[in-house]
Amino acid sequence: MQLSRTYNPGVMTLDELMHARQYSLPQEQKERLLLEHLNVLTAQHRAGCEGYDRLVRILHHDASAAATLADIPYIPVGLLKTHELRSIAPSEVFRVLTSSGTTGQRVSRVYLDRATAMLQSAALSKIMIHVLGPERLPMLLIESPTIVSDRTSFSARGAGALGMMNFGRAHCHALDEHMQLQLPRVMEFLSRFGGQPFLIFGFTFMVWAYFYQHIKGIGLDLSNGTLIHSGGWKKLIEQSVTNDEFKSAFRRDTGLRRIYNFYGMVEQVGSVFLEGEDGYLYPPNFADVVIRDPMTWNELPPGKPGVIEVLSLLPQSYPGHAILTEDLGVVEHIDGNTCGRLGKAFRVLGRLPKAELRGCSDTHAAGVSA
Amino acid sequence: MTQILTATAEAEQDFQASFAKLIAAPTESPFSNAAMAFCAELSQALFRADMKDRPEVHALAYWCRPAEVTRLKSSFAELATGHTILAPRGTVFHVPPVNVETLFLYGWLYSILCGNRNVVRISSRSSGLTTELCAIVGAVLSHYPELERINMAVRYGHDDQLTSDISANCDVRIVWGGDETVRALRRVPMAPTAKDICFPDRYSYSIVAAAAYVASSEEQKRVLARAFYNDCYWFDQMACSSPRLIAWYGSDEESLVGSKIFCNLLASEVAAHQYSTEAAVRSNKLLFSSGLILDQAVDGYETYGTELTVLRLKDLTTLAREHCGGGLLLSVNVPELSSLKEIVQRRDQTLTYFGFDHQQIKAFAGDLNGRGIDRIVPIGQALTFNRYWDGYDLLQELTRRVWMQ
Repeated sequence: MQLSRTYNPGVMTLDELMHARQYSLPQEQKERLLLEHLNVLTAQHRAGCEGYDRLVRILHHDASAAATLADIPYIPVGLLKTHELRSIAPSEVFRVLTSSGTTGQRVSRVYLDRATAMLQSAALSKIMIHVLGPERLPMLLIESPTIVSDRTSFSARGAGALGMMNFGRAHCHALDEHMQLQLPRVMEFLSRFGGQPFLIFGFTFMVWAYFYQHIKGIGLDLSNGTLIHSGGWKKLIEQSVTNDEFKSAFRRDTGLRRIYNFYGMVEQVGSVFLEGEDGYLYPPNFADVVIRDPMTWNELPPGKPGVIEVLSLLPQSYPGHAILTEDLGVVEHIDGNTCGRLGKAFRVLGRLPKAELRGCSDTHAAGVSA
Repeated sequence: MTQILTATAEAEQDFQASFAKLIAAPTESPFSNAAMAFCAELSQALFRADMKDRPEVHALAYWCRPAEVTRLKSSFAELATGHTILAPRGTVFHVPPVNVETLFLYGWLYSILCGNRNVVRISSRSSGLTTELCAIVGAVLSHYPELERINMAVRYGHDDQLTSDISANCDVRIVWGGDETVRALRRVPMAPTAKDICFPDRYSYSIVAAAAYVASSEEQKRVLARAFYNDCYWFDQMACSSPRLIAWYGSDEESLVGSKIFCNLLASEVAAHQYSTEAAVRSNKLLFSSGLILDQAVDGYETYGTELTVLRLKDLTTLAREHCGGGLLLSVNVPELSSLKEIVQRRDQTLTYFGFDHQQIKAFAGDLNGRGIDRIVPIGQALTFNRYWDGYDLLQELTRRVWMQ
């Protein structure tokens, strides 16, 4: 990968980190390697992005080279919604990713150059191969064909689905544009490929509401499938569906046992945290998480829930190598090796609960509007 | 659902019928004996309610005690002239903010004292404290039938029809709650003879004479920190009169020394009061601070304890008035008062001060000539509600002046 050239010769280049077996590095060694690369990224983004440089100087008190992962100068994720942060010239922008958001909500804008976009797909591939194997599998998407037909608008969902489509072949879209399950299509897919390993991908809530709910009673055999899903648990938690219930329901009603959730965001595409067989999420070799105490923003030890910061070596074109999210999480153990994976095993506990401050100004006037 | 919060059990519960009765009933004379007695009894009831963790309720109880209301009565009497008297406006429709629970009572009490009929709209999103306060007011009102029949607090959610009906039948509409609420209500027509009194979003700040502050005693500094804490934190720094910026007037060195002492003492007050915000508020404060660092002339970010963040501004030229609340203080050094005067605009409401005498304050207000800032009060008085608010004199606004010749 051409970008490896920008790094000082270290113990392992980014390229080598990506090619090494994922989840194989003990935390101490991994942090040492990540730090070296992250410090280079900090310097690179300070030089290329004036806003990030200001934040490092003022918010992080001109942090010198970080000695721990927690020292890397991070940005709050919401800043990508309000400010244009990029470390490349406008002419180098290859693609702008936007987060999903309801109407009226501000969306994140993530500026990619060609190299970062390539890194992202290469990285995702290293992670997925770990559970899917090197072969492209027949792929059932719990999506409508329209989500990816318009390739100029890269919504988070579209980009996510499109990114995942690289890992499959003979794609079959299980839904129509009205989110209706197209059962004949699914049956046909299964009759052709159901007897061999195949891949199912979709967003967690859609998989549950638009797929599982309609097939649970009809005895589909998905036992050769591997389901990869993402997008958050908010809607399912509202329906009291936990990850355990999600998995046992599929296992009971369809025989599907290989189910992997992942945690990722448009602000760090490609750098996803995939679930292990023990149910915990694991950072790949080129990424990590730090859990921070919202009282002090200091790092919390394993077992203490706090706000998740995500670190990644992929963002070369925008200062997103250290991002403080608005999600709560907890590191359960480090190098516990409970499913053959080393490093931090963590769980996502949901979004920071919204808080309403007092004050004279009603933030939303819906209650009195005419 | 519509719910009348002040009605006694046997009283009419149907809003339309109650409202029709209310607007048909006669108004009271300004500062009638009944209204004076009602305030006195309400004051006692509020003290008795003993809401220790709610200093703003205590302040309200203090405000409507007999001595204060008697003082108010005599200042009201001074408003009349040989050729004019002041009479109630008629029916006043109050639309108070959701989150500053006591505020609606101040406006309401002024209006009761002026003799008006009152309908107070309580949002369905309002807190338990608002309901508690309404229950207390309702209980005291029931001892004064002539007042009870012309006063009503009604809780309803999103009901345009009800808002339209009340608006069409009132003489004054008092709208609190920010720009959006004001805009929304302005679209609802009132009778041609009626008028709006609006309290939109405002911005407030403080000015401290650095040399006077540094020279003050330790005890004075502690008292000032406590006073500032009350101004700033009682309503999570989100009341329109809560200071969001502190300007240090003096040399760079005095200002910096003064500011450091002040921030440390303020942080001690915050800790002593065990003030604490939720994680989402802190997360938002960090995000908001980051945005200000990118957009404004910020050259320092400091945290004092967990609930006070200070952003140092190089100057005021880039000052925007959005604020996240919850303990974020902008700090700036102004070597000349003119650099503060220059940036004053209509949206600016309360200037709290320390270390200035009355002459200086008067000269400052004179120079502004009404361009902005409607209240200039010592630090500690930011939230002290009185008849002069947002440039209005409420006693004047809630009465009509009748000319006689």
